[in-house]
Amino acid sequence: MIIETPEFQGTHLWERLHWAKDKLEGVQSDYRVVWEDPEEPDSPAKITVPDPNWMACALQGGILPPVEVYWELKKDEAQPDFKKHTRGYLLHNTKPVDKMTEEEAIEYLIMKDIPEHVWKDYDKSNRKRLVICNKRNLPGHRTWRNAWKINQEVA
Amino acid sequence: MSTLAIDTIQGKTTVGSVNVRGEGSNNTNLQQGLVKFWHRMNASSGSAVVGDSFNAGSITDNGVGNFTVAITTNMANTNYAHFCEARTDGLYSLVLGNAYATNTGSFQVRNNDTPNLSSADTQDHTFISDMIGGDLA
Repeated sequence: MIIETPEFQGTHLWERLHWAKDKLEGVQSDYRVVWEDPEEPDSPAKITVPDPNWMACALQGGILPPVEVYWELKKDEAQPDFKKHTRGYLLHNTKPVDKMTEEEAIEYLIMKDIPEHVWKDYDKSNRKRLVICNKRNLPGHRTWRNAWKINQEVA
Repeated sequence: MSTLAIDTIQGKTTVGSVNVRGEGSNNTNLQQGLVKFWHRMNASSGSAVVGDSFNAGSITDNGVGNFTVAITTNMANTNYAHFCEARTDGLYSLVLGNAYATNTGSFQVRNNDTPNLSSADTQDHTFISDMIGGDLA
């Protein structure tokens, strides 16, 4: 059954998520983003997993704000005199993004939730620091989890 | 018994503020009392999996018992309250959100094998729940 997304521009994002929670089934993605932070060379590889209800919103379209909105809020928060957001309206008033494919949603999530210095020009560094893979490609256990690194030969 | 069937409750004086009469002379503010984020995940094997959630974007598994949780609707400031409960058959953990970095769009938590944060080793738990109360952006 096709569910039409209401016109949500101007509606508080949190309220849109209420609608989505009520109308949409969560989508468990098989994609995983494995990344290493060059600023933390001794840390193990990190693994970012999309939230199923967030993924449902991304695939539905018309709910999530453009990723650039989150960048603007991060800029505001990085100011030394930051106390509280005064441009939260960007989340609610900016035209929502259209529906995405699962692959596009993962790219959006990388740019939203992973530090920019990790994903920007990630494919130009000598050492692979970010890989999108299927969860089947990851160990099914947690043994030596704090020693996991991206296999440079496979990546 | 009466049934109230409505779509929206909003304040008359301030749209985003509704008081609910509590015990005695107490008033409870509806908006301030709401949980603004929650999720429940399993980190016992492979990469962590979220069972269900609200207002969540992603989780990043940083290592054993160490996770960064991203929010979809940012909080207005970093003074929000975070509660985490994690447990695995006989082991349990209670973690406060200020153990690591807290931002308006994400927070990082560490789960241990005892409630003693200073001495305990980190632990991957079968059930991990996080909740946030505070002001939305």
